[in-house]
Amino acid sequence: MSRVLEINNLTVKDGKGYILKDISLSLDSNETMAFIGESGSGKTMTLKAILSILPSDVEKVEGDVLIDGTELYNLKKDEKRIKLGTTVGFVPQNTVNYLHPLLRIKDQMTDGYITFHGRKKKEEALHKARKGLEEVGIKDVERVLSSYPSELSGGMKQRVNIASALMMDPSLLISDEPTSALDKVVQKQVASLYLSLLEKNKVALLVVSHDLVFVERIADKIAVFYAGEIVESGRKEEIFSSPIHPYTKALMALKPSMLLDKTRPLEEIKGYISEEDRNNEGCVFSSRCPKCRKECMERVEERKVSDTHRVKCILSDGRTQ
Amino acid sequence: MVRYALRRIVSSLLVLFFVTLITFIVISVLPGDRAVLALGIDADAETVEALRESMGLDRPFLERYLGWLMSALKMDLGRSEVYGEKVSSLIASHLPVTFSLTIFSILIASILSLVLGLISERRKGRALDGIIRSTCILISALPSFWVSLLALVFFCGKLRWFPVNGYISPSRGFFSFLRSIALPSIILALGELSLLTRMFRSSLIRSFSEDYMTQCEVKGLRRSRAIIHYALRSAIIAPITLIGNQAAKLFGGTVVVETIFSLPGIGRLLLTAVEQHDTTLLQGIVLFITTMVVLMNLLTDIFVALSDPTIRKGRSE
Amino acid sequence: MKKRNFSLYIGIILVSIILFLFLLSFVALPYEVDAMDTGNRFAEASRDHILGTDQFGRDIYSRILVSTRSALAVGVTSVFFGALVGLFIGAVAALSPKAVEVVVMRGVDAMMAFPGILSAMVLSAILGKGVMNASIAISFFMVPVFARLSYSMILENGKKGYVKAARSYGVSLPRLLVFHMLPDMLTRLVTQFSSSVGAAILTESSLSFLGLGIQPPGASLGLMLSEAKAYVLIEPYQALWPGVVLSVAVLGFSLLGDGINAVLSKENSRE
Repeated sequence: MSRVLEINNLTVKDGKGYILKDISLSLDSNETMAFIGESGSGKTMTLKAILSILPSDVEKVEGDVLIDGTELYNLKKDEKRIKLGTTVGFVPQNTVNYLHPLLRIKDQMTDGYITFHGRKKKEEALHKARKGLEEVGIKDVERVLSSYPSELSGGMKQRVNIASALMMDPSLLISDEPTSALDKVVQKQVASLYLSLLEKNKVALLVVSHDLVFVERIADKIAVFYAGEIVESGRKEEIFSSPIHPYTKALMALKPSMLLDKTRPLEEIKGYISEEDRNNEGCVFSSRCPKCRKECMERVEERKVSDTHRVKCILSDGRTQ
Repeated sequence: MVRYALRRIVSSLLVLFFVTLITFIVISVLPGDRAVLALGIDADAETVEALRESMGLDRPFLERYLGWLMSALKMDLGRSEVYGEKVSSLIASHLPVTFSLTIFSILIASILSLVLGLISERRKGRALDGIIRSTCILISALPSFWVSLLALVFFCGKLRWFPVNGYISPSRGFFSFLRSIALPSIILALGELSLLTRMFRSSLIRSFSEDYMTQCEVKGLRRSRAIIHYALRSAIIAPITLIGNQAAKLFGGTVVVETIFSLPGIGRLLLTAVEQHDTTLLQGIVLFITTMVVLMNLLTDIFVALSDPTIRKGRSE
Repeated sequence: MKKRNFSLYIGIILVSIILFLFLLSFVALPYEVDAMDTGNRFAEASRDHILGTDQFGRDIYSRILVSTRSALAVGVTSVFFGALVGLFIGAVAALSPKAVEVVVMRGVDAMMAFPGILSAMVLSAILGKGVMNASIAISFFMVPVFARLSYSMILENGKKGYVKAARSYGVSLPRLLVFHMLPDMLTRLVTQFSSSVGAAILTESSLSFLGLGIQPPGASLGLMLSEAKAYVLIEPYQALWPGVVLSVAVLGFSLLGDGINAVLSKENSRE
């Protein structure tokens, strides 16, 4: 069991203020961690910070990102490129242009491998790509290899993206909402594909997802994001069965349940994350929290509930309510 | 793809039909008497009438047009009244100059503007970007015949880098040939610089901001590979269309530069035809140039379609 | 954004310079255009002739002033009439049944296949030389440019929500064109008009340079450069100022077009 990823006190800012504030987390090999929280809460930005692809107007001001024990931001440009290329795989959200529209799938899948192993290993790279595609459940591998992205369906493209990300046998796989742009049937297929991949490959997975059912199935650890902070984190059981933070509780109430009670009103969390929340001195959720007190707006601190369970909420009765 | 190409070809044929119609109407119907023009105003009425008859000017318009069109289709554009030679062979002998001018200038312009566009994109919003863009605008706005005069004075007169006058055909030495058309080609290229650089810049900006460029970074590709194989691959398509269209325009617009540098090209031939009222020659040249323009635009479109798999594979029409 | 306005300001300044010269040609012309002073040929700049004299001893400065008259006259009138005809043709094509539309637009494509200088040369060969004919020749090649513009604008606008909405509550077609679509199209129209004037001035001087436009002893920047050409290796100075003024005119109008475009499209997007 080795530590694949460790983030300590990562803080990221842009011209207007905090984008990420004091993010800390760790992930071992064979573990899966899920990021949950609404849009704009900082989940994707954290992934970008790990991949060192932060937008140009955003800057890391503090903290470490360690991959396999190496601090990423201390590396030289070229070393960083090699480190990331060989140890981290990334499956993007399934939008159109993550695959180049004018290049064949085989060229896009193999060029990372060729970059690191040399031009002579082209056959080897192709062989690896074939195996990878088979592993993600693609039957007509040859056709897919010589296709252009426009000839593939959304689900197929996402399988290709997953196989591409695994080309270098990464120790860390990062997925940004891997199922969100797909239809329900394909969503389920991709989700179960992840489960079987995790069984077969020795890889740590970091996944952002809005799909709480998927998260419950796949994750070992969960981090709940709100307005650029992790407001609660812990093992899956801790978050799902005994959430403490009012925001996590509200989120859990949104999880679809098997026994639908038609008389129960539709759950919703009112409001949205505003610019002020991010730069708030106190609790970032205070403006929307139903239990907010005066002191919540002035200070916040992290409490340790157990070895693995942490929460940023000062309300002492948080646990019982 | 086949359907797309067929549609483009049919519509180009339609355009060509209109081109012949316009050419014929404008040149042979509107102006005064061609026979008088050919013989001079002093010619006596009988001679004029005889010539009119032999030129077929007494026949109705439609008959004359169809006759002209039919022989044009057989590459027979008639005989020049001034030179007494076949128009088609006159064009053939003047074509190499204009053709090489067009090719060289569009090549120079494309390469230069690709490089400038790339630098401009990489330094987007900074001083260098501004300098490149405003310089290109300035250079392209300078009238080519004025730039030609200045270049003559400076490069041919003062520095003696290039011959002042005349064209040397490639058969008399390829290097001398290059030297004789280098300066006019560069000057024509400068006129295209602003438009092409602007195009390259904006299409590079678009492709650099695409998600696949991030993906290249994540995959750990070298910057050079990401730029050449990914960014340029898609950024080059839109400019190719423009390059094709501009090449077609250049082909018909070399006359001024040909005049200044005394190059025996189509433009000069055209000028002679205009000055000497050689209607047959004029008609032939105009038809030839416009046909070439239509064909070049057609070929560009088909080429672009071929390089885009979404069109090539016939998915989206 | 700052950069954009830059081109507007420079455009305004350059065009103002040309307009100023144009006005000067009426109120403060030092010499007649064709006043020769054969004893004083190729004179250098002096108090009498601030830009020197040409091969006939004519005052270059005065000839430049008068040249701006033909440049502006030909430039503006040719674009105006070309635009008028072109816009009409494009509108007809856009609003006609499919068959008419195809035929008209292929005809426009055919006109487009005549490179500017080519059609101008051919027409001036037919109509004869001179200011009037140069204007007609140049307006001929402005027609397809504006025809395509109005055609594509009307088609694009037709797809927009507000036009569909207006149609649905029964606004008549001419009213729709003038009151609903025109304001939206004005940006591109003005931009195209301004940069076309630059192109027209350039074509006029090219024609005159080739001896097909303004005839001696009249004055045109192109003609002046053409006369300077014969002596350019001995007396290069003569070719300098007409070219500078011509460049200022061409650059000025095209920058003005860009600048107006930037301002108007910014206003549109703010709405």
